[in-house]
Amino acid sequence: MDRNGKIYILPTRFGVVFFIGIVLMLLVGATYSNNLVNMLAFFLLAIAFVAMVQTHNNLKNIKLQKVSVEPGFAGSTVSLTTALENTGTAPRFNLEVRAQKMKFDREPENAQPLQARATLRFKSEYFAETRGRYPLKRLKISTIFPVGLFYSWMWIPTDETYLVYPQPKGDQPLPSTKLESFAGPHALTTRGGDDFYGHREYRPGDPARRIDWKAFARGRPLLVKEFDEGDPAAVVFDYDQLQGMTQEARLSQLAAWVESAKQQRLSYALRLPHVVVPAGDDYQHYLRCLEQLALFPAEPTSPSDKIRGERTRGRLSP
Amino acid sequence: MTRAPGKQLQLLLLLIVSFNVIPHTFELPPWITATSISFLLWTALHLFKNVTLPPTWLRAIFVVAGGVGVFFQWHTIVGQEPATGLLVYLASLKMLEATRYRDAMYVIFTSYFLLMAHLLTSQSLPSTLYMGLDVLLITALMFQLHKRDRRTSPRSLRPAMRLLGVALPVWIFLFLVFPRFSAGLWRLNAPPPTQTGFSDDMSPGDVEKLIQSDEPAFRATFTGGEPPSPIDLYWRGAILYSADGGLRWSRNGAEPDTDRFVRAPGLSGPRVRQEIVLEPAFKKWLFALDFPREIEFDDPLRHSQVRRRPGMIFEVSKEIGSRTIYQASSSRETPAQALSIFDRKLYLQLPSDLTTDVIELAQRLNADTDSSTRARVDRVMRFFDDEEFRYSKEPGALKTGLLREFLFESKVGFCEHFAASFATLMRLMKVPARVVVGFQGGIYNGFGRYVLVRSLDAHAWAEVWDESQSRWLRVDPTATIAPLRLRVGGDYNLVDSRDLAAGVSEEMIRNGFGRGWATRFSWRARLAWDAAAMRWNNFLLKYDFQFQQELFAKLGLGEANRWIFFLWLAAGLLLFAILLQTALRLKAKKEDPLLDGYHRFCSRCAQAGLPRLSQEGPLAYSRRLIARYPDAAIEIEQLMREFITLRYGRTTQADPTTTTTRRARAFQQKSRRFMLPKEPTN
Repeated sequence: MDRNGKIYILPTRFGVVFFIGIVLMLLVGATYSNNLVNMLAFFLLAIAFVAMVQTHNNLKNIKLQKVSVEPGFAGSTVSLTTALENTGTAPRFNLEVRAQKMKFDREPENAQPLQARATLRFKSEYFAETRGRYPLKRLKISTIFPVGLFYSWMWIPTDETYLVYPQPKGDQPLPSTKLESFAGPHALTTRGGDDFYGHREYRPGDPARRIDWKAFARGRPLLVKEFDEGDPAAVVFDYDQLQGMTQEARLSQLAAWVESAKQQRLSYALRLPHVVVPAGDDYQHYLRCLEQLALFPAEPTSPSDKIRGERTRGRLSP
Repeated sequence: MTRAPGKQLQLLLLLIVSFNVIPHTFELPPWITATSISFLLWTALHLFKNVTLPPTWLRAIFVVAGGVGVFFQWHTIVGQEPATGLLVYLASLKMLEATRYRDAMYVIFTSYFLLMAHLLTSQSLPSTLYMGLDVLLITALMFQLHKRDRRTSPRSLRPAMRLLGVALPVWIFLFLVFPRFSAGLWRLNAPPPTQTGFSDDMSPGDVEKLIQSDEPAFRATFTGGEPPSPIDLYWRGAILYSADGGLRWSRNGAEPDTDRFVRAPGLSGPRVRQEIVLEPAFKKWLFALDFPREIEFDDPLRHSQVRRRPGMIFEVSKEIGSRTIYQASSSRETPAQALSIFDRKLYLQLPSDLTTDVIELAQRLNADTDSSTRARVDRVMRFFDDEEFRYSKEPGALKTGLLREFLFESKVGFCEHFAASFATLMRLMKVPARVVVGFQGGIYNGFGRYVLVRSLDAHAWAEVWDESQSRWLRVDPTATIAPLRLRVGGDYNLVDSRDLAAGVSEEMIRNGFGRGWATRFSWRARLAWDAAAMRWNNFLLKYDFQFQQELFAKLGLGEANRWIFFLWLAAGLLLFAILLQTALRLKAKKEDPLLDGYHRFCSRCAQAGLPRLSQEGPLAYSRRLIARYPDAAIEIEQLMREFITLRYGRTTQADPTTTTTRRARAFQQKSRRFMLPKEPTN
């Protein structure tokens, strides 16, 4: 019952019209006992039959080689790039790749056939609605080749996730608060009880005292706590500085600042209630900041809290 | 996946539609042809010269105008002709807006139907070849529309070749085994074409019209041996018994009595059997050699329409609109029969416009001691010979329209005039007489072993009653006046009248006036082509239910009925199984969507390798799942929370049932789509 990788097929709207046409022709042929009309109807029937097989076969031996999603801002688009490999011996035509449950922004444009034993990249763009990290779930690969009478598709599961950054919006000017106005780098990094701004994977040679043993004990891999002193001249974008706004408006404003700081090539740091991104000015830093903004916890409590709450109220029976 | 056709494809669409409109142009009213061509030209101008296309409101007006026009033309829009007219009109109009993918698909479908409409009017070998080419073109275009790869290298054509190559055997298989209905409730006869032929009442001008054309009229295969020599081939069509005046004979007035044959073995001779394929231009007359006794159709519907008319002629009650095939069995000699008093009177009726000089001529010819029918016939024939009557296919109209003008002044006519004047003279001599129309001659085609009879073989002759033998005698006055006409057949009518006046020999006509080997070669090529067409037509005509059965029997499959029955039984069972499965699935959907969703969720997770234990409730199970798949935690929790709330929670909504059901449906949908990640991540 594994639905993945199985090829499905259904007639298209035109396939149904075509079939009705054939039935009509057969009726005309029988009514006027005209064998040439019968012949025409049978020919069309044969075409439809063979087309059905060919539409199905057009998806055979197609493997997903690579998939990646370029993150985007909410309200704009994210773009999906997939590389499909054809392990079969015949070229595949007119393929379409799209992500499940995502709205197309633009019809994907790849008129190239996927040649035998070759790989081809497909690009499609989707609307990004609200910020956050989303699973890509499944990809749908479909085709109506060769004559548009049948639509064939298959699902390919992916573990891929993608990010949607908050929409950069807000008219507040760039803050002038400098990192040095805080009481040294430690004042920033010790905030909120955590004395690190992030983890990275353990590499041989890392000092043992910087390994997060607590996390390791929880069953996670070896992680190294990272500390960064940062550039004292950097601007600080502080979440708490933005008062009297909703959470999402604050995030949008921060995103707008990050955008304009990137354009002005400023060095900047991002300060959120639960995490701090130390100062930086390169592209990686820019992405890190936006990622933190995208993953900012949503306002209501997480669903796992709720379930726990319901249980404690004793309303559940196992 | 679907894309608007580019300029190149639009041009191809235009070519395809034009190609399919062409065969209809001559058969439709001029206004439809003219507007269709202008629509197509407009599209071409748009594609080549960027001329603007008509706006939507104008196109809407065109559509309405076309519909109204068709209605006024035929006073209906159902039926083959109005439907074809409308189809041609709308297909050309559609080209003006064939810019989207959808339009392109509908234009392609319409092209197939235009082709079908053409096949309804013509079932011939050329039409078949046209169909083959057309179907290839349309299908190739449909293919090109979906391939998206614009290059058309031989390599890229390979899938199209494969499509057609595989479709071919499937097509033949379908054609052979798909069951035919020999005669059903809704069997119709195709409406007759508008070509010339013998009209309903076999009016006198028919023969004159027919001898101007060398179109085939029918082809006859002699199933019981070699055909008689061409000079003896008299194909009987109808009898004219009413002399209406001048040279006009018709079937007006009361019909003679039914033939009553006297049993006289040996007199009527052996029967000659023929299989005749009649072209659809002859309305309702069935032609057969000499004196047809029986006519049979394989097609039961047609067979029930055969009517036997007095004078050994046969007709069908419904006009023949398509090529049709029948078996005839004929006597070479007229059988002995009785002539009733009524018939004797009928066959002696005289026209009202006889002049005294004609009556005197008849009396003069009659004044002889030998009063046998033979002798009287001979005297009239001698009169024609002595007075130097001439044969001409274009004799010109008589000024007065009276018989005396023809007999004493112009003395020029063709077979029908001779037969008519001869019959009138015989009646004046008190010999019952009638005119017979049909064909005389025919070309024996050695390639196909059949006799081809063409329009120009149309002929008229006379029959007189021989009292002594009590039977009708065939008398052909043309044989005396223009013996060449009978020897060379209808080709005599192709000879220029100046050449005729100068005198031509049989060889000159046969050799095409000495134009040498090229003429002879092209003649042989024509015969070969005609034989191929004949064979193909026969196949198309004969491949029906009965033939299918015979084919199955020949292949050793026994009773075809049974095989076709099994095929359909298998197809029916398959269809039933599919329907049943769908129905069951639909029914399953109707079950509690909440539980269904939960079970689906559980089986999904079980597939991933983590089945629910029988003692586990939703909560415990979800906790175990989350521990293994932390990445899917949110989703699992959301689903289970929803399930628990809906299944065990109290409903607090104002309208509990509908909201709960809707939420349950939503839950079902969600859990259907739920997937665990392939590998548990930690």
